[in-house]
Amino acid sequence: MSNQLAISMDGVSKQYSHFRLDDVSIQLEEGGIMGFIGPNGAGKSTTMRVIMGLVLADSGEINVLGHAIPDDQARAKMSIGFASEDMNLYPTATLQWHMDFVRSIFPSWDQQYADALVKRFDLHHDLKIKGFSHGQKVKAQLLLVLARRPRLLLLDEPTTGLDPVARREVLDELMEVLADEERTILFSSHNTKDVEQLSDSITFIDRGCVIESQDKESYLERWRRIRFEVPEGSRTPTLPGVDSVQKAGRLVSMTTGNFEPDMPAILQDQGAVIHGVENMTLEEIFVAEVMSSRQGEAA
Amino acid sequence: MSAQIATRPSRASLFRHLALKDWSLNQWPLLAYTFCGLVSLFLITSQNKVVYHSGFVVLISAVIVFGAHLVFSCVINETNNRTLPFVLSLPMTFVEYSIGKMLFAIGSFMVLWLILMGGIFLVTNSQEHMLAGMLPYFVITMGYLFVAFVLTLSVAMIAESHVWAIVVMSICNISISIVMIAIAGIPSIGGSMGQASANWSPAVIGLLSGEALLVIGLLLGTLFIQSRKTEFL
Repeated sequence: MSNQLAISMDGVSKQYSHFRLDDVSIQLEEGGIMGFIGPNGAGKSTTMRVIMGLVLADSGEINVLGHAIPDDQARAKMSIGFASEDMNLYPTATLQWHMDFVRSIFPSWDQQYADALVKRFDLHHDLKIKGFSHGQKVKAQLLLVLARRPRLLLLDEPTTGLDPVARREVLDELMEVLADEERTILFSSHNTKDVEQLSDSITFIDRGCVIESQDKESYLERWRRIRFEVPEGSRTPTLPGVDSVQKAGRLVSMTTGNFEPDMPAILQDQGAVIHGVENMTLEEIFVAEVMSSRQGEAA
Repeated sequence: MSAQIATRPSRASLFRHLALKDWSLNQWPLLAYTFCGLVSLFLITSQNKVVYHSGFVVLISAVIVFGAHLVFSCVINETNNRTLPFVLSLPMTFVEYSIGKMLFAIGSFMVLWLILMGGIFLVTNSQEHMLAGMLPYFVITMGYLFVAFVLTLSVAMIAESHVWAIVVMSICNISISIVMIAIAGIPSIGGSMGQASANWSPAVIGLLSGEALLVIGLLLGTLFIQSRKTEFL
């Protein structure tokens, strides 16, 4: 992985009547794969659109592959493959028509790869798009994006609404794309399993604000759930840096995003009987982060 | 980086690609309307008054439907069918996309418009029973149809709403008979319609100039508003 930034967003804000993208800053190195996670309406698609120059930010700076956005977006788009759940292909045209159209604009179009993807995705190039299932439409979109061999892939919810088989096919293809270390990918999803599988860094967004952005491994490493029992009559032990505490009788489940190896011992010193220290899935962390962030806002 | 730096196609090339795309998706309906227009030219050569007047109705209808198809299929449907993100993911800005749309729509409309205008002049000069005094009146009416098309196109592009496009198109089409009556009521135009030669009076030139200025103003205004937009989807 090189150290050049494929995407650099600095202090980007955009005000809508009922929503604000607030001071969003994201850095993604060339060759990196970033999972962009957030609940529905968190600002994932708006952020993607800002990066593509499809929505102009009120403030902040955006640079994509060395091009200032939005001023130099046309040149940047030569090297960006963008697919979105909000995007449709022309229903009355065939996949072949779309392939010819995209090929006529992008000299980097790889026909051999496109043909291979048609087979792998089990698509019919002479069938009109309106005859495709949802999964086939998503795969067709992905094909048109991948076959132009872009340096940067921006995928907005690429697996949303797919059946398990189509989802597997799309993820497998993305896994192959990931083998190319020069290809940068930013993909948004509220499916944390996809993100956990594909990405090497993670950005959480909620209510228009980035609440965390870090490499995946150290991020997962930071989070733990400590389960312990409090003896009758004792107070629940406390620890600094705890994100949530759930109690069920004398059983306590403590979640922290700042885990230190000596934490269980500190709890034991306060009388707790440790039942276990568990790793958390990205989904569990995601929910904990969002809840913690919202509680912080409410306070 | 070993990845190649991709060179962006020229603007002219992009406009050509966009035009070819829209033509490819709409060629058959547009050719059908053009055929209807050509049939109307044949009908107005008839000395039978009913067929002659029917010819004019078909001609005006062909122009209106041709324009409506361009506006709805090429502009409104791009938004409604959510194909706009696909086009805007290509190496172009929103303003370039808007210019490309306008070039194709205006260009296509002008092809039919000029064919029918030329056809009327040809038919009038080749048929003894047709009076050339009608030509200024016809040209002003065709000019009005051009203005109505550009106005509908502008509203569709700016508002990106089929409701607004339908409202403007309906008003323009309902008012065409009023406009035609009003034009015929101008003495230097209505009084010359029964003459054997065309009278390109100052009133005719004034109206045609007004229509041309309106078209230019609408196009420039549309481009200005498009360039001020901050959200394109």
